[in-house]
Amino acid sequence: MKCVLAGSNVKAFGKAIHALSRVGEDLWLDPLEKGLAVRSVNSSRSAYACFLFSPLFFQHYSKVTTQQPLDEGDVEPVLKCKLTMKSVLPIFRCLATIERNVERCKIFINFRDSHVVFQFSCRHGITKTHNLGFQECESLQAVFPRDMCPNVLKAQARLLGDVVMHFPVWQEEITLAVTPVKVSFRNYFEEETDLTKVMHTEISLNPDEFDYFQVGVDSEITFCLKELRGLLSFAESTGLAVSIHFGTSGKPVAFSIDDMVLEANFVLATLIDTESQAASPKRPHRGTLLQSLAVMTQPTVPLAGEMELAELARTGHEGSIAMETSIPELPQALDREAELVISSQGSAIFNGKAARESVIACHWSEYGVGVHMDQIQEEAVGVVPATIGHNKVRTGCFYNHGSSHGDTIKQQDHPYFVNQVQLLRRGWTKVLCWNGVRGIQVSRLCLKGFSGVPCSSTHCCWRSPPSSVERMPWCCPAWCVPVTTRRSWRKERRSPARTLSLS
Amino acid sequence: MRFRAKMIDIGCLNHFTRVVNTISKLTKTCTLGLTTDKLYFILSDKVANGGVSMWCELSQGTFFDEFQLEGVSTEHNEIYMDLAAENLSRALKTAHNAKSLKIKLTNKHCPCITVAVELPSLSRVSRVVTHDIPVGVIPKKLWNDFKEPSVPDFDVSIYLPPLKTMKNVVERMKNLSNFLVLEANLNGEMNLKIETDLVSVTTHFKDLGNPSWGDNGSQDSTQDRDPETMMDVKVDIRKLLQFLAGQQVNPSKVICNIVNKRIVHFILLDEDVSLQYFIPAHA
Repeated sequence: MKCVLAGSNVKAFGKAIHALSRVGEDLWLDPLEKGLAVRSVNSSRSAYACFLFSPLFFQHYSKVTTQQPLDEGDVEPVLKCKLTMKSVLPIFRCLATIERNVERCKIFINFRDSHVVFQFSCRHGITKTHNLGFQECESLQAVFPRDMCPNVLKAQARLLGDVVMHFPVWQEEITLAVTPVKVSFRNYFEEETDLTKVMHTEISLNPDEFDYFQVGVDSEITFCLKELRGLLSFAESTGLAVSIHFGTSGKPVAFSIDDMVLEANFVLATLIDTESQAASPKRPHRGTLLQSLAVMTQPTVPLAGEMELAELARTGHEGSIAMETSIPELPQALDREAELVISSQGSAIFNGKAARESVIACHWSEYGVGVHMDQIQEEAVGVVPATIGHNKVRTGCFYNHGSSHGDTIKQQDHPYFVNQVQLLRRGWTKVLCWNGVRGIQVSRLCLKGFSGVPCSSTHCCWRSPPSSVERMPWCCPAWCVPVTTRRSWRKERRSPARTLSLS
Repeated sequence: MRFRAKMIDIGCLNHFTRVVNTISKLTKTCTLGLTTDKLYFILSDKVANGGVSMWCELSQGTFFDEFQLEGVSTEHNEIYMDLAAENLSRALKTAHNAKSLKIKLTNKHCPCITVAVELPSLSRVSRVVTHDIPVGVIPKKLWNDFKEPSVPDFDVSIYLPPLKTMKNVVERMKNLSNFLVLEANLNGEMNLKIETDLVSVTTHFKDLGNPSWGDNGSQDSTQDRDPETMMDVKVDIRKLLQFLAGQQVNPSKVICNIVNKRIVHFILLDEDVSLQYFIPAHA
């Protein structure tokens, strides 16, 4: 692997290293096709951090590990190397000096000597070369089905910085509590702490302050603030927005930054709330990433949904695009060397049923639009959000601002979740949604919503059907079905939206 | 017992924050006293403190726009409670651009002083930060400790040199010795002395000026004395440094009263705040 960084990107890279140093003791370097992934995980495996720098971030980027061309039949060696943070951090410690003096930074891996070389070309013709010994290791990646998270918040880094500044530097953990109308952060204390001696701090924010706000299920998650501060300071210095994906307590929370040239993901385990689980021990304990995330050692299998639309049209008219994936059993105990597998970047693999069960926190009650509750439950189990072509429909959430078809759907601002999408004949799409209390069905969707193009209008992406056969409709102001952040989508954005006409 | 107060003016808020910061640098825990027209931060001279004591008085009207107090009883319309000043200081630290600040006495998991800060936000609804500081309410029978200390029968009264200069000097001296002798006379001269086996260092200040105390009984006795005579007191250098280093309220003049070999008494006077600090002599 060989890459060259120039100018202010060297400082940004250094900042990323600083952020990672707050998480773990080791740094994993993983040159991929799509860029250089730099990762770290903490010793208790409860925090995972990854920065992915795309080739655009570098002046020059090449993943090739060997100089000689490969012979027939040779497999290109898969190189992943692990460095200690203690050796890397001092190189990037003083960012101000780097900003002033360093013009270019070249990073390459010297196989013969097992060294990673960081070479700084500084002002006045000075070159500083650092040779760091590395260890070859297994890959480190966390599987986290970000797309299945019912709650998504997106905020400017400044907002989050303003929130955490109210907590003292030594505050270990904080609790984030969300409801559809309020977001609050408060400090968290272990049960043993004497509550009469410590100061409780809580800050509440209005959902309006967030760039994107989606709460599918009320939840309170407690996670480690210290590990997160690295990401927040990185985001503040680069001025990028931070997205937060999470579910109920016990499930991990992912903080991410998405930009044209880099992506960052911090996945933190959250404390399991003992009140909601009768069987668990008294003390709240931290769900580790290994428990909470799907861990697999097989390579990913492509989903049925990746088929061409035409094929879909052939195979299913009234049928659903239910894709059943066989989910391997989660191993109970894993030793440290176990491989955590692929992609925190919009992975297609997850345990749909388990995820859905955890997402539905509430009781289904009477519901009455035309599809039976049981039917929905049956159909929905094991179904992944439909993949249409290359575009994925993430579970979206939208608000019902009133029904034009009568009384079963009340005029309330309840968020609804896209539970299942069915492609029907003649361009109709049936979307089954629920808000934890009742489910509804929408029959025809604006193409934009499903084509992967983010709709920037503040009006609806969901059009009511012309006939009154199916019920419907409603406006989804500002919250369109969000789209996947996969890179492949970005290319397609420029091409005309795929239509759903199947005739 | 009820207490509610609200502060809106940013200037008052910053001033109050500075006072609380000064208190938090002087002592870890102190007593907060609330009466209808004044707020007190009190530290009584217990052995645990090393004998130092502090009395800080703020006039409530100059800081708060609203102030409602219902004390323990109608004839004693006061409340005294133990408080960790550092917590209050931390709560106020991030309130420098607040729209308003409310302080009230609440009873959550235990009696607390709740500081609710309303901060400007990007949306129409302000952000609210709430801090619950646990306090211990002090029963009326222990209120005898909380009386304003009388000015001691001092031998010398003098204005201190600029606190910053004095602080720098004492800071350097701290590395050499644990005790410092502070001496002054009625001629506006003050010396700071340390003495160890290896070295002795003295810093001289002059032309400091002596405050006149008007019709004070003790004044007569000092007038008989030779103005050149130095009165001194030997104090723990760290306590002195704590006092000098923590000052954030910068009053124009600080008065220092010395009772020969017994105690030194500092008085800081500002328009709305007065702070008195006593350091006893080291035995």
